[in-house]
Amino acid sequence: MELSICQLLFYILAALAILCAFAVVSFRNPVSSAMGMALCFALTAAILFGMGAQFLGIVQLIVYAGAILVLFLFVVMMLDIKDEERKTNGRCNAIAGAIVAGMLAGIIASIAIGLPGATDNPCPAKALCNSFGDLAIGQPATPATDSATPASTCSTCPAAVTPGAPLPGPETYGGPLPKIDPVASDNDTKLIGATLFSQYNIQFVILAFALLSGTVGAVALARKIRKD
Amino acid sequence: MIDIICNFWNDLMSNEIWFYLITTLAKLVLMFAVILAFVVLSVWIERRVAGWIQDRPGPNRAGIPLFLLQRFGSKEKQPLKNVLHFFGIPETSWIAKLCTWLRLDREIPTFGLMQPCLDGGKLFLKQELTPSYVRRAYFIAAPMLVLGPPLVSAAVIPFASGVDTIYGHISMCVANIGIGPLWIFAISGLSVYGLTLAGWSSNSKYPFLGGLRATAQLISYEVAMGLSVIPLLMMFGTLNMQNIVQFQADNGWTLLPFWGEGLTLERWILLVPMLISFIVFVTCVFAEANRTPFDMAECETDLVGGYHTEYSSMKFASFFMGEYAAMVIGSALVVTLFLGGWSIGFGADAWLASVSDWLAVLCQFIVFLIKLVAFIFFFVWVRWTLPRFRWDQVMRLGWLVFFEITVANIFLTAAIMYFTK
Amino acid sequence: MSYIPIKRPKFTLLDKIYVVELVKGLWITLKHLALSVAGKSRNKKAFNGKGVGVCMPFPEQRWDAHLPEYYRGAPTLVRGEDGRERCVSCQLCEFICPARAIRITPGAVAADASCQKQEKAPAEFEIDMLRCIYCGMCQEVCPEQAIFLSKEYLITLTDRKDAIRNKETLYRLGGTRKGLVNKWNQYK
Repeated sequence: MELSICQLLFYILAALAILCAFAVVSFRNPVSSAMGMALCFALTAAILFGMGAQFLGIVQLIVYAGAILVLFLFVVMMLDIKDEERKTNGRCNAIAGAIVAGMLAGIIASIAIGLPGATDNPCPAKALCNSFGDLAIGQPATPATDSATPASTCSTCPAAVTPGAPLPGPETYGGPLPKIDPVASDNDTKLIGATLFSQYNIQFVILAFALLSGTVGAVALARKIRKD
Repeated sequence: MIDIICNFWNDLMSNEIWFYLITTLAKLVLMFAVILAFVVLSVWIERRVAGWIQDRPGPNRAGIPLFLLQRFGSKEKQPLKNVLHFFGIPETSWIAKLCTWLRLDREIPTFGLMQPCLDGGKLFLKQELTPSYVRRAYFIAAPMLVLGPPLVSAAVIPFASGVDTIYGHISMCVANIGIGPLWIFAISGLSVYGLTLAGWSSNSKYPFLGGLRATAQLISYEVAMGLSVIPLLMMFGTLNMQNIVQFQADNGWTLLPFWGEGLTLERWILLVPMLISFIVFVTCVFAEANRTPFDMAECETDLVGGYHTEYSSMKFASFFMGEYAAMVIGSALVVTLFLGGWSIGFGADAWLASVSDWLAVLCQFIVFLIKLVAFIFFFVWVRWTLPRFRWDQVMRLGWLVFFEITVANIFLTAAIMYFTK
Repeated sequence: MSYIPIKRPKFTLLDKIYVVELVKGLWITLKHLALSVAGKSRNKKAFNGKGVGVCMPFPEQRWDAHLPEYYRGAPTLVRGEDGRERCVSCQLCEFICPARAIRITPGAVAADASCQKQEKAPAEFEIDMLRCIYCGMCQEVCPEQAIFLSKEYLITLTDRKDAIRNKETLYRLGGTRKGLVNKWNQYK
């Protein structure tokens, strides 16, 4: 009963999200497209909430719907809407777009199939629900090296994609993972924090530097250059 | 018959799902009632306090006029006489004089509390004007997008601790989720869509400028707001609002660590970064709620009315309801994070809970509302003290001052926590 | 030099931090608030204030006695001391009125009027009080000193039709004025 409601909601939200994503490309009015995208982000966040990944969902809302898309809208509103609405897209663009989208879909599908429990359960949502459910039941987050029970590792750690491969333990970088209190409701926040700052610390820092260099570059480009 | 109802109720509440649904619905209704009442109340506080600060009484006339009774069939011209006669009180007694002094012979005094309700009624009945040149769909959707988010974001604010009933534990918070403050940031950040779309869809230059200002300002201050709570979260060690308040009830409020573990040296040294966080956070809440001195989006001196210039009637009113709801939620967030939320303080929570759960919940709810009113008063007080900032000053404050201060504050907190442990 | 450069104040670091100045400002407003609530606002006596703040609660208490001589209220027509209509229907006020509130229908002088020298008298004289902006130009322009702005300021209506004041009403409100009209007064 409960699971069926969960699945039903997932399918409804997913269908709506796809519809919104379709609306993004099909609307002529750029503001309507941007709003469709906002709705799509919100629905994706709702799906994440439904799976119990509250932190991911809220970050999706804050970062994408709350900040990036608003900046999008900010720029789009400056455009001449009537001019944009008259524009037609060439066939070349459509084909190139389809190829890129297809490749992305392939990558996502291959990752989704590789998720723990994806092959046992016909529905990926159920698999994700299960893997989060295990977490809620009280399995402390097992370090990624422990590959005996792949279904019980949390799917927020992509390390579980290849359960058999020996990965460097979190002890290699920094201290041990913090104990996860099974009753607390902010488990996933702690888990993501612990994973990011121990196991994926180097990647995290490299990404941060990439973003920083991007910011510095943007500031340098936007800076007024004095002639004198 | 009563037995059947009782049994049915028992069965219903014993079911976990129904118990959850019913209690959540009850909390939801209570929360909405409180917020909407507080929207009205904060308008009244705003106008009365503005009046007092400027040496005038403010709205004190709107009462419930008793001559209406005459219309509804009462023959007597002065209902007070009728009532006094009914109770057999002579008209020269002090009770009658007191009633006359309270203007009870003309109306039921409400000290102007009826004024916001009557204003709302007036706006509700006004003619709706939609200019022909607007983008209609977005024009209609914008006020909803402004009013909706603050009401939704209130879901995570705890207004009392929990009670253990025979059916299960009720936590006095609509959604007891582990991302409390982030939820409020995310959802109230969405209200920027309403302002932006209102400005854009009006198809007129001043509203458009107002919308752009609102967008830029809200995004800028969201950064500092998010960063300024990180020191607090480091201290609390949790993102769950109910746990945050419980921590403060046990160990002293963030800004008043006078009991429990708050008496340790670490907490007293931590008071410095907490105070910095408090100042930055409160300023950001002002900016997020679009209140003076940060009401750049509706700055009437340079933008006519800002993003709501083209709006009229109830749509116009819903923008303001949204603004006041955002103010109430912002106050509730500050109270929850810095001033102890529902906690009564000095260990009184635990003592009350040992007497009776329900009594504790009631007292905590009242204490929470008192703190909320006090902070709303502070909001209003600042509004009638400070002039509006200039636009470049607002941006510079957000990006060049608060951003750096909050980042430095995080490191300061971390250092204190590392060295005093 | 046609302009005076204003010297900007030099802000110290304490001013720039803003918190201290903010607290000072809050203290001032709090003082005002406390004094108003206590009913002890400054200058309360001078303003005849009652209750909270310095305000005079309007319908119960009025400022009428303090209205200045030059107060501009609703325009009215006046009669001379002999009961003669001063207005000669020259229509200057009608033409000068920026809001076009005045409307005059000229007519012949009544046969029984005390003064037969003038050529015309108003058959009808209407002022639309919804249009009138109380600028006083009619009073200024009138060569016969027939129209004056009274001190009446409470003009409350429930119907648009009531807003148009006819000749009879205007004369009733205006009453009579003593003394010669300036134009016949050789000493003026």
